Amino acid sequence: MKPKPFDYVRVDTLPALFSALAAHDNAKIIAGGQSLVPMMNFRVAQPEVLVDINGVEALNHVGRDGDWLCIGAMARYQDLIDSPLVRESLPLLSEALGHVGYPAIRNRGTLGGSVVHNDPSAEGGVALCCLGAEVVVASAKGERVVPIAEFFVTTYLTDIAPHEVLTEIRIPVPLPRSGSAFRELAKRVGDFAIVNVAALVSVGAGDKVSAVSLALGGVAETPLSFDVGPAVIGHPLDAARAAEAARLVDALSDPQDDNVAGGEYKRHLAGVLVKQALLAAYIDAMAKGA
Amino acid sequence: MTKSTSRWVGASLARKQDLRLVTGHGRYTDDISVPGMLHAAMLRSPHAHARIKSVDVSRARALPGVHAVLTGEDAKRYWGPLAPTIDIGMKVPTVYALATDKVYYMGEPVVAIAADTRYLAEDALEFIDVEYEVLPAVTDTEAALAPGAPLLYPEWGDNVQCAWGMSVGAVDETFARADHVFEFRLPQHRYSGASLEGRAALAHYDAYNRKLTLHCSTQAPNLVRTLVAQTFRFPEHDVQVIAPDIGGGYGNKLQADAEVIPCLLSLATGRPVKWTESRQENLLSGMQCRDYVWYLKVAVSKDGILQGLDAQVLGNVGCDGTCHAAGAGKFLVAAGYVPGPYKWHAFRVATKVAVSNKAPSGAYRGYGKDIANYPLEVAMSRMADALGLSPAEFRRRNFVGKDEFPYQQISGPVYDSGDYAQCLAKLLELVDYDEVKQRQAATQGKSAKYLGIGIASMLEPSGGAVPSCIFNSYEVATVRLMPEGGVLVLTGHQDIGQGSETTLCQVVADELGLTPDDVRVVYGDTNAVPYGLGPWSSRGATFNVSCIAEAARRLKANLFEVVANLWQCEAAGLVAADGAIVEPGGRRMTLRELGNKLHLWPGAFGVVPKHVANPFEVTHYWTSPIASWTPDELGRIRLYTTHPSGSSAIIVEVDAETGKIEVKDVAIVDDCGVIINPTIVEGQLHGGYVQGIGGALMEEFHYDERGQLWNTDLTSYLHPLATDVPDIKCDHVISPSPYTTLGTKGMGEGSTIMPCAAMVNAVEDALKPFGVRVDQLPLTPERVIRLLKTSSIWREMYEVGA
Repeated sequence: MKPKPFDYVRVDTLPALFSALAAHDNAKIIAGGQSLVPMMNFRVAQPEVLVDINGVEALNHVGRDGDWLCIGAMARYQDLIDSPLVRESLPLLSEALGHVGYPAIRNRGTLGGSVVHNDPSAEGGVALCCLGAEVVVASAKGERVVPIAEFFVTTYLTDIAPHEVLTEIRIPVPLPRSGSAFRELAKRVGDFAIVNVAALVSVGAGDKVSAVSLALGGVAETPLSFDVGPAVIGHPLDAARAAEAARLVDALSDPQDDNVAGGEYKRHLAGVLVKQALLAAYIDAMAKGA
Repeated sequence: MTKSTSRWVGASLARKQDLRLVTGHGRYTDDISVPGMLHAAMLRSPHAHARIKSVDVSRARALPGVHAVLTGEDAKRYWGPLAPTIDIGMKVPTVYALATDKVYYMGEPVVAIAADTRYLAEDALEFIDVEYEVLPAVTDTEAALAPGAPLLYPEWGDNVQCAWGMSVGAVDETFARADHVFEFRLPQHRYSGASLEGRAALAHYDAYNRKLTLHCSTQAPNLVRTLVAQTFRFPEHDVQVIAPDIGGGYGNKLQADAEVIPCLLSLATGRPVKWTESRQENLLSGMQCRDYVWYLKVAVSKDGILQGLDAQVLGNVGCDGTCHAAGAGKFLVAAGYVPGPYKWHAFRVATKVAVSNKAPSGAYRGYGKDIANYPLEVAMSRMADALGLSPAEFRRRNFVGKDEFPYQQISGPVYDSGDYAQCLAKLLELVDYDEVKQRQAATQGKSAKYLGIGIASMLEPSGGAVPSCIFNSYEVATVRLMPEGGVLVLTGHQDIGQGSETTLCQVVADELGLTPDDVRVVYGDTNAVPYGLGPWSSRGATFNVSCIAEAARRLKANLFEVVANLWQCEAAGLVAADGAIVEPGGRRMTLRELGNKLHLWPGAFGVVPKHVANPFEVTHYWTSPIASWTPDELGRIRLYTTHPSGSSAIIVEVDAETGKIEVKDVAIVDDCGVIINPTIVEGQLHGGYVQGIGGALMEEFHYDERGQLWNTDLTSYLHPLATDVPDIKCDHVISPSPYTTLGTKGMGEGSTIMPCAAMVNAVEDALKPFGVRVDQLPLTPERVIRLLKTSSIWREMYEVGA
């Protein structure tokens, strides 16, 4: 349970980070280290150099930019959960991150690191998919902005090159009369979920659903968004509509057996949680007044 | 003999060891470093069953910082096969701690390395080339026993390590005449204990002193010394085993398996070698347990009286249950105790123990008593349901009565004492059974959360005295008076968390009229203590407490003789109280004054009369007054001395939509006879019960049919967390044992024995509207949904898309 020998470089600025990445072929960035370090101890990950970005102040920010919330790559889970700005503008993200691991993991782990790692049931990724986030990927050559759904390629693989770094996550702030809910079932509190669901529902005149966004974790190789608009938009959201949405999701997903649970059970659970999350999100939106 | 006044026995004394343990000042094996020490790592087999075609270690040997690279073939030159820990009519394979020609399970050590650091040792593993010829593997118990199964040891002709059976009474007739006959198939999966401290060993062969010193995390230092000496054909008296603080045992640390590998590396290098296993190594090859299938047939009369039991247990000990560890024996214990706390007219049992391509099987809190308990307690609740009786009433009608002790069970054991009905009555009160059933009736169907309550009763045969194995029949300990009046207790019993470092002080303090602070328990060093056998089989409060209490009494009697001689009075009139020997209403001599007189001023020659036996220390040998290895007219033997008992209840809420089980309430009523330390007893009950809940709900070694173990870390092999367990309520019934010195009984395993059956009974009670019958554990949410899906009522209500 010891890692292979590796070198360690600590950088304080983005330019220094870019040159460190350019200087080494098999380098890996370490932020919170909550996934990377165990993988190194199991020798699943064998980087030759660890580039530590904990000192890069430019990556440690949370702020609002017009209709967007911008989260730096070094922002830690617990800081995001505790941030009044996140809680007020993106309660779904606060709620989702509360399900991540245990206090020790949340104190150290970063949302940026989790997004780059891309575990298919990571709460952050599921919430970001539901919220329609974008990520900023930078290198010495400049920046590019990638929609989160495109950034997640497949399990443990994202659209990022070895010389690039994820610098920021940008999330559009939902419409005023929106509600959200996050539901998951894990075997124990703090475990990776078997299935998790993030729902965002906006209501308009007559308490009818005007927009809906839904994302699931644990049912595919990456967190995945599902269009359940046809089932719920234009109607008040009741149990029958929620069940219809669950049927849509069921028809569109094909979860596979893995070490956590069988595909058949995940499929059943997804249906249960989709219904619960949509109804809860709708009630939350309704509570925001007309 | 003078009766002592009990002052400390029964007191909830804070544990002496906790100051060092909870402040981080404990000293575990891995905390010990010695000059020149090397670190070991092991290359483990990726296959469950394979022939080793070649092993090339030349590249690893050439690495700087690597001092030894040993294969099974190397090892064979220096040592013998692993010494058997048990052989009661069993097939004992010739196996080594490093694989030689074949590997039998995934994770079996194949090559061992000693290097300057653990990092280097693990780096070097990557430079070893092993060529395997993969063989067909078998993991399932019944598949291993089926004709044509791949054979682990072809010379055996089958995969049966042992088989045994017995029959008492007119079994066939009883079943032919019975009003009701019920049949059950009840399997249990493979899981085990999880000590915070895994296995660890620091071996130091000192060639100049011809001595092997082994520090290791073990429950039984004396037994490990013997097994190591036998394995290496090394003089036993030149081996010293030191067991420092131990971070948990649970039965898992009762052998010398991988622990002998650092010994070999030290013999090869002449330097100290330390090995501390990773959690992955622990899960792969630390001793595993459970893993069996029961077939039960029960005959019951129409008024709900048990008539006959016809049972068969098929056990799975993985690659071996004799040398790597003593797992095979637990299925014999299970067969003998499946009649439980109930009365029977006819009984037949058969047991067959299979080897398979899984990790070795050892002991884990229960050693067969758990295996005996599970099927019968599930069956009792199901039969009560079928007979229209409450589960408690059905049990009450069939319990051995409190006035029937000593009671010889149909399978042979003599139950010493107990009041099973009172345990159950107290339990129903503690858990407010009737209120729960009313609440269940009022809430059922109103939401997807279904409330249920399950009960299970148990027997915890404690203090096994098993012939032809390391779990033998005696205990030896010394109680020593020091010149300054303090007392040392020297014992082979290891404190592994059960608190004997404290409870033994309470016992001796009462016997000698001292306080527990006047007494120190010395343990964990084979060169300091007598050859006692250690803690297993819940034998501490049966064997060790009796042994030490008797030793203290004998020492006291000798001291009384000395004082009576000095005072020219009758020894019979003296008492030991408040740190002194006292003539009631008269003279008083503190133990310090007496110790000084004996040792120094003037010394023994001046104060000890010739007729007095040793007043300095007494070493006592204690064995069971009731165990018997001589078969009676029906061929039955008696292995256990005391029979603690109890009942417990679990209240659950099952989410019929997700399948998730929430444990709402747990209550235990335990009867372990005289209680030495109530806080320690309740701590044992709590911890043991949580382990059982883990086995019922989540813990499972997930082997596939090729023998690949899929969960080798603690994110996939799950244990209950604080959030999974409610507060646990405890109450007690006290039925002193007539067979122990203080009336104490064991109590280390009882609470782990019950939870699986109680959980199954609770879940079946909760899901009664759907007619669910649990056929497999652990009850993960997925399994619960799979069970529910068989119900058309459930499908109508909860199936997605319905």
